[in-house]
Amino acid sequence: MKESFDEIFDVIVIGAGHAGCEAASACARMGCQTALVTISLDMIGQMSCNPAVGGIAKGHLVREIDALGGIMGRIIDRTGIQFRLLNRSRGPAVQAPRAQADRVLYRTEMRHVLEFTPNLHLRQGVVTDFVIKNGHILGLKLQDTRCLQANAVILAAGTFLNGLIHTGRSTYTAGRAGEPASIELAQSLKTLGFPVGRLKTGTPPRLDGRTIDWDAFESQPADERPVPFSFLTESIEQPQVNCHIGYTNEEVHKVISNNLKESPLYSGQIKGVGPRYCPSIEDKVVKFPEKSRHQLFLEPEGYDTYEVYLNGFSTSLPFELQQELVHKIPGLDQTKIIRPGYAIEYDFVDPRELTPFLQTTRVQGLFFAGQINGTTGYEEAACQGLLAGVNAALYIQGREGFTLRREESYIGVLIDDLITHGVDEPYRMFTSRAENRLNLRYDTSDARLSPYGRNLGLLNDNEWSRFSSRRDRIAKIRTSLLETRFKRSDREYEELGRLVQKDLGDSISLAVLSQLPGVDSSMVFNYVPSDIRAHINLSELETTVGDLIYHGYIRSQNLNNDRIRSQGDISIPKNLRFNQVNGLSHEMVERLERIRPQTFGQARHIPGMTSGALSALLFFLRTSRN
Amino acid sequence: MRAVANGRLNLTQAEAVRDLIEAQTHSAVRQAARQLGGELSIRLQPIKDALLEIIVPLESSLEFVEDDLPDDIARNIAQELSALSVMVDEMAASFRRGRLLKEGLRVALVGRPNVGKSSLFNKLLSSDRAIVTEIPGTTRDTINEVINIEGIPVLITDTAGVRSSQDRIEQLGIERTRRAIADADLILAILDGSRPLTEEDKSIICEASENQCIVVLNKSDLEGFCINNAQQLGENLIPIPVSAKTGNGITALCSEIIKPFSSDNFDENSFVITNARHYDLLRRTSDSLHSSEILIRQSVSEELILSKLYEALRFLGEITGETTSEDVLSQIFSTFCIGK
Repeated sequence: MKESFDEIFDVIVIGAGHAGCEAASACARMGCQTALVTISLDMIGQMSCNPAVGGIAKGHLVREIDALGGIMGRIIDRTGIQFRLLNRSRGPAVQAPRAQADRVLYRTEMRHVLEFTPNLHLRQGVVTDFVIKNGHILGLKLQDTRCLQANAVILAAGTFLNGLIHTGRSTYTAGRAGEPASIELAQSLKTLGFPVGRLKTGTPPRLDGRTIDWDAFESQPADERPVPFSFLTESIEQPQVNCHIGYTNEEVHKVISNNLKESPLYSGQIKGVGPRYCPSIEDKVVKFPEKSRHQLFLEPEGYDTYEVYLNGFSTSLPFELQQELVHKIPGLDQTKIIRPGYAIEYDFVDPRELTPFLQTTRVQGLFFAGQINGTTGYEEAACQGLLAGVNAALYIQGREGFTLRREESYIGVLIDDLITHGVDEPYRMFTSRAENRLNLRYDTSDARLSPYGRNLGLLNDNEWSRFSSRRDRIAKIRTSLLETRFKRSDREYEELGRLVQKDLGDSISLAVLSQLPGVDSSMVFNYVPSDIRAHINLSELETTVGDLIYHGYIRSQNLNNDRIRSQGDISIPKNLRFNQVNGLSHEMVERLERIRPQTFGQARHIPGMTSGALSALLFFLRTSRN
Repeated sequence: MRAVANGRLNLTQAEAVRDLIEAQTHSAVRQAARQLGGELSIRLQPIKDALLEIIVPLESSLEFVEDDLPDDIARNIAQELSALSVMVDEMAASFRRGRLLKEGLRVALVGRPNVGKSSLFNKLLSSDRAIVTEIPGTTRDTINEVINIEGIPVLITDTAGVRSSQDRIEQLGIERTRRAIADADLILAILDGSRPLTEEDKSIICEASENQCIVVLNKSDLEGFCINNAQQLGENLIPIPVSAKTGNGITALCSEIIKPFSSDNFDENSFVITNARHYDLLRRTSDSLHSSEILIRQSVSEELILSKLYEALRFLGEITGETTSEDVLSQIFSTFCIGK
């Protein structure tokens, strides 16, 4: 082994996808000399699958990344070509922004942002092995014999670890179509003893837009008032374009059913587990035979290309069949496929290996982020990248690690789920995974998380003052809504009664009025006292109204949590040896001994504690106390 | 509770084992044994399943579709929720009977001084536990004893006679009597059947009849005894004539006391809740179901309705084991074709 290192860094990030970019950016901005090593510098921030960011729960994650000082939200705001706020007709807790991106613009902007980040060094190369001494990471070896030194390494390899692409019966190793997989690195993980499994994901064919009959599809325009992802974005500047909606039909389904043996998913060729919520078209046809059609979205790949992404038609059938199926869809009867769809299998490591700081327990200083931990999605990857980056920097600086709680963030939910339960399919965020969904709105992520971002050094003075002034304005609006009342004798009263079409009683406060079903904040806006109105925007008013709407529900939720938590104060004797507690499995005893909780409440929060183990412990504590 | 951790018993079953150990009588043993069979969990399972079936389309429409809930579907869901909360209420209502089985029936003997409460108490005990004199107000404190009537534990409490008195000790005794009345499952309001009803008798019966109450007409052995003396009490209060002295009518009184458990009213095979924690959680479940029903009738946004439905599911989960978000998602994915 070569004894000397070619270059020395504090932290090295492997992989420049959505996790790697956030990780490297956070480390560098927290003052660490950071290298971002990627197989191809031209593919930094590449969107491997659909050209879109956000959506329900995923949009929440991007907002949280942004509130903490991450970069994904800022970049999609500059490169998004169709912004839509989803679930607009519902309450703010389940609304979330989504944007189509210009794929090339996004990746160019990402590279630009990283290149202009101080302390951040881009390096192209294929990592083949880790340098480890006494259980601590020391650096990396590259294929071209370079050796890079760092006391912390973040592995964010995406689908590249042992990536294997399937189209029909043909297979080839790749990280993405046309890009080489990481084979040696995957092997060294196995050699180190990491529990490695296989997952699968897929992507649909891309079409030649010049050969599509657009009139055959329903047009879906962007929102008139685009809601940006970043709290720092004043307005969306990119011109907005349309997506199109269409459907498969029974003829398509029949051809698929007749040719299942050609699909590697059904021939037994693919062993990895795919996500149930992002099924291939083969899966949809087999599992839901009663459905006569499935929805398709035709999404533009960008301004300067005619390439179109056929969302909803993920497939690993052979190319000829893909082309035949596309031709059977009205409006696509002349359409040429320019990139076939494919399925890809890749290695992941059981995330129960990880500490809450995303550091491995096997190798000190080695962190994992993104798809390697069993997740799917750019947003899920990016938030892990951010947290791994933050924790690698804290580790280098000898500071205590940083975690987020389930009650305060989707990021907390995601990481807790991963390290506690592991995964048996690619993990995607859903709002229903959060017990406290009503508290985790997309428009309150700044209030929840920006103070952390500031403490970590990820929000600069300018960004922090923007946060503070938004917070102060919302507090003022709240007071104003509560204090502004309209009586029968007031001029506005009659007008409001007509607009709302309800009896408003003798008098009504703006706070109560704004919570009535069917009352829109843009209407309320006009009735906010002018001295306040002059200084606020509509989104700040919407956030304030959202706080009011959920207030009662959140209080009742908290009461229940408190009731359950009341047992939390029962203390655990300092000298208790947990193997004396009847009914605790060896694994549970180990977890308890490692953390040595002082109260039942702390024991409850240890990741991976089962309800059975907690019952046993509670029973023991109660009986031994008597 | 070791078995819980080993995964052999669920939480309800483990609690049933504890109840079984503590069970005092045959009936209670049978009930505990039944819950050990996982019957509470089995009975709650269809409720949880039905709840999940309501949650899944609501949740799915939030996470994946953008259509609002059609009115007719919302109405159906509201009806189902109302039916579910009735089911949960019925289970909760069995708690009183269940608790009686487990802890015993608390019976308080009340009445004016010198109507023969203590004599009756002794007769029921078949011993001379209480001091009986001719002097009204002899019993100054409450006395408790457990007797066993056909396998049902009955905790009987003799109380100080209720009258207005200047005697400080007697006043304290009367205060305790009022407390015993409040705690009792069943009141035996004792009257002297050999005399006309006094105003004091009427006010005692009035107070007692706010609880479960049996009117006992004592001193049936005396010449002047007349059942008509108590006939103005009303249809619901049919007095039972007894003689604490001779023992006449005591058997009839005993079977009246355990009437809620007699084969007519209480099928030993029927199911009851015996654990106070379960009762509390069922009540909470019912409240949450009721709130969600109101919300869905008001057509509020789904996440608010769901917050109450999840609350109900969590309460049930505290009895039978959790329904995780993964369970909900699995159900969504197997019911709906999701994903672009």
